[in-house]
Amino acid sequence: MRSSLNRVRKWLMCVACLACALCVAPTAAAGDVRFQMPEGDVYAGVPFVLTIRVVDASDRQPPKLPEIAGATARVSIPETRSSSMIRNGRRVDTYTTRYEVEITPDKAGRLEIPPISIVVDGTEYKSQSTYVDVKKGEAGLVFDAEVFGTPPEVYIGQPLELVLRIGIKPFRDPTYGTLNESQMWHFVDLPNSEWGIFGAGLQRLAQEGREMPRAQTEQRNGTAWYVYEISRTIWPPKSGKPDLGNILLRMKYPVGLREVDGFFSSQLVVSGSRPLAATATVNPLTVLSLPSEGKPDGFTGAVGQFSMTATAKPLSVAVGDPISLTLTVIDRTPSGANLDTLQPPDLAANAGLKKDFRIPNEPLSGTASTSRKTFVQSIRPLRADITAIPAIPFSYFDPAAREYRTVTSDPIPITVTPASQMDLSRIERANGGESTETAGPTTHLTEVEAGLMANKPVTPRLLADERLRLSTATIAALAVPPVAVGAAALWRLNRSRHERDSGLARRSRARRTAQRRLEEAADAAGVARAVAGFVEDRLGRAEGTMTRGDLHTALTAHGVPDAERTAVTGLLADCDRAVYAAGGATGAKGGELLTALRSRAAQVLDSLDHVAWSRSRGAAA
Amino acid sequence: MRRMAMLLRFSVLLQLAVLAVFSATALGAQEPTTQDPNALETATRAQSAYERGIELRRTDPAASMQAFRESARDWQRLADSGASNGPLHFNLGNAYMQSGDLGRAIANYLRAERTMPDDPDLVKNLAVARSSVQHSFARGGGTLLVESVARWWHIVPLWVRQAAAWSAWCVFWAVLLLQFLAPKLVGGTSARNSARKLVLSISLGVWCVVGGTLFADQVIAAARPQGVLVAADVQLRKGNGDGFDPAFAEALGPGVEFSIREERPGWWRIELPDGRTGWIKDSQGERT
Repeated sequence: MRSSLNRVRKWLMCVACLACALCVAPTAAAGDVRFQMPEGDVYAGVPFVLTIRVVDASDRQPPKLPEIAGATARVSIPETRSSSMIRNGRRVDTYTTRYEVEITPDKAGRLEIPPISIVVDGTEYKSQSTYVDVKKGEAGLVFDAEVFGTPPEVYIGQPLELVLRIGIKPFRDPTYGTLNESQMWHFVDLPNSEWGIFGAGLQRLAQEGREMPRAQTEQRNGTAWYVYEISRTIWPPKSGKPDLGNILLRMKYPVGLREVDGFFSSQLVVSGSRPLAATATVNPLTVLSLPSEGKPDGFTGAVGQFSMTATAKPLSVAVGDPISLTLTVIDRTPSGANLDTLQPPDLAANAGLKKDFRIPNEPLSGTASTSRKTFVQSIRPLRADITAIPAIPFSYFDPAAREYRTVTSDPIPITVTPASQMDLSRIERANGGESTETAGPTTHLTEVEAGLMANKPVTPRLLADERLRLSTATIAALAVPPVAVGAAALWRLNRSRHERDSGLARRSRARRTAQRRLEEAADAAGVARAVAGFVEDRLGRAEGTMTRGDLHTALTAHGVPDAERTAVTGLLADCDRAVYAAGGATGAKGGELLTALRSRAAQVLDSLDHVAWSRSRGAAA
Repeated sequence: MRRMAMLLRFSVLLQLAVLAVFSATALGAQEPTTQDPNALETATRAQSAYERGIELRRTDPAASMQAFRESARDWQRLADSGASNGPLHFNLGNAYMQSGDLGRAIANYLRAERTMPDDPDLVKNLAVARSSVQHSFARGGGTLLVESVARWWHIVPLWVRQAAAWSAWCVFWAVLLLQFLAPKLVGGTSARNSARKLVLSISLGVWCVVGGTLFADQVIAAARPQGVLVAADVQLRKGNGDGFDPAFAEALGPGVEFSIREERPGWWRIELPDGRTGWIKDSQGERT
């Protein structure tokens, strides 16, 4: 019987160990580095992720990826997170860096993932070689994506309308019917898909509170598909193929539905799904370079259709005074030009303007609104004979006409008066005084008002919060000094009173003195002296001058209640009896009597200390 | 012997004063409070993006603009995580300015102005930003009065005023404490009594004046919250709804500064620098 029980126990131990090993197996831990292998089915064309977690490392290098036959792999940007916990009353911070290795199998079959290595704090950690069974992907049959551009051929800087069309074959359940376009859109894995340049379009949808993009139904090989469209306008900055980024869409396509009973009614839920991924195919798009023929000298890269106005203020200035010249470029391009990158007219290259005005060389940033961009430049007239700010040309390339065009602003009449400031050095020389010049003429520097000063350096102060707050520490810092001073003032006041009134000090110390005398009392007479001394101290009488009768009279005069008076006189009488009784103060019996008297005296002193002693009746007495 | 005792007393007083000033400075300067564990890394990245934007400005305007936007995003992330100080808002203002967001640039320069009003770089950049604003208004009414009164104390940086107020507070109470605990140290002779009264008067005066400016800043900020338009083509309306008629025929551009007179859900009644008022959506402006 016992042997069979032992056998069962051993079996249970083995099963427990095996269960632990199975639980730990997917997470191969190696020191502070953990490799987590993918879970679930893997499909061809659908990326899966292998996670590497690095915990509390001071130095780490990105993982080294081996060549994986039949798959492509890449490492995502590492993400570091911190967590805190209280352990044994101390805060412990943990920093975990997570690398995701995304592996996309090319075809179905058995895929070998060789060891992946990572160097952490000088030590190299390696994962174990793993095999993954890759199933055949079905993305193209029920899910695809393509990108169209209008027009398919554009110039650099010309608006290009791009549309991402996502096609999803609706899921049909034999029992519950076909899911609609809104339900199918919810199976698209929005956060884990890569949207390339269309990410901004999705953000816009979210900001507008729309759940899904514009959708329509399209017939493909006799089957209805839902087609979702996300549009985006770009202004290609360079020729060739436009850079649309990586567009890899993922979805969890349903494989079945089931009915679940709710509180009020039953509802349909997805009983299972399989992951799909589709890389968007891009229809031919070409970005052409701007022609070099006919390019005007002052061309600054504007592409579209524009007009320009110029204003200035003030219109009446002295020589050298600044005039704020505002140039407003108005966009008249049908689909809108890219005003963010629109550069201002090159004023420094404008010979007509440059000969009459001092112009800063700094480029202007400008302010863009819906359909216009405004540039403000500060210019200074050089002479008093200038009567106008000349017309300012602005050249652009018109993609519709396929040629360069130039618009000009109207000249702005201004009045320039001679400078009111005089050259002091010349006056001194004319008067025969000593010139302040030491070696040749001084250089006159004209400060350029346009342009921004450089950033402040990155220092720990940049991370501080310098806002004024009434925090707990501030309140404490405000409150503690007055409280401390108040306490010190009370202490000083009390001390001064004691210094001024010696009787007060004696009265204040009466209880402590009586207690000390009581503890020092060697016989009943000492106990009686302690009690009588207390009354003498309280009343300011000379020490040892009050008899038992005096005490009774004084206590009566000061309004001490009968009970306390009787207790005092009784105690003193007992003390007298003990003193004069034969052999009363010796031996063990005498010791017990003394202890009892001390105890009574302590009680009497306590009660006397706590009753109110009247002053007026005492004075009358 | 007497000289030694005097020296000892003097050194104790000096140490107390130094302790008061140091503790005041420590109270005035706040510890880093950002919630972002990688804050320094974020700041470095923002700075690098800004410098890249400057490098590419003449050769590749599109990439330059993108870099400035990245810089602004990172600086903004730092500000959203709890950091708030002059250099941070100055850099954030620069990044917004370079990426063409004039309204947010001015808003951040104004925030930086509170803690470093005398910074010459800030003064210049704020002037450049303000000169780019399409609409300008003659200042008047209450705005001008408040600004002209508050201007004189804004000459002194905030941290200096905070440190001065705390120092005065600590010195005042320390001398009072000594008066009670060690009266002979700060009194006893007419010279010492006069010195004590002088120190008490000066420290109380400094605390009242400087602390008063700090208090006034808070009161003014609470009573007259300031803001800047950040959206383009903002149409001021006569009421808090799109159905109300426009208050003015012209729409206003980004960068126009205003004070908030009244707040209702989703809407602000703003007062322009010339005293005229109108309603805007709260998403069209940013509180400074």
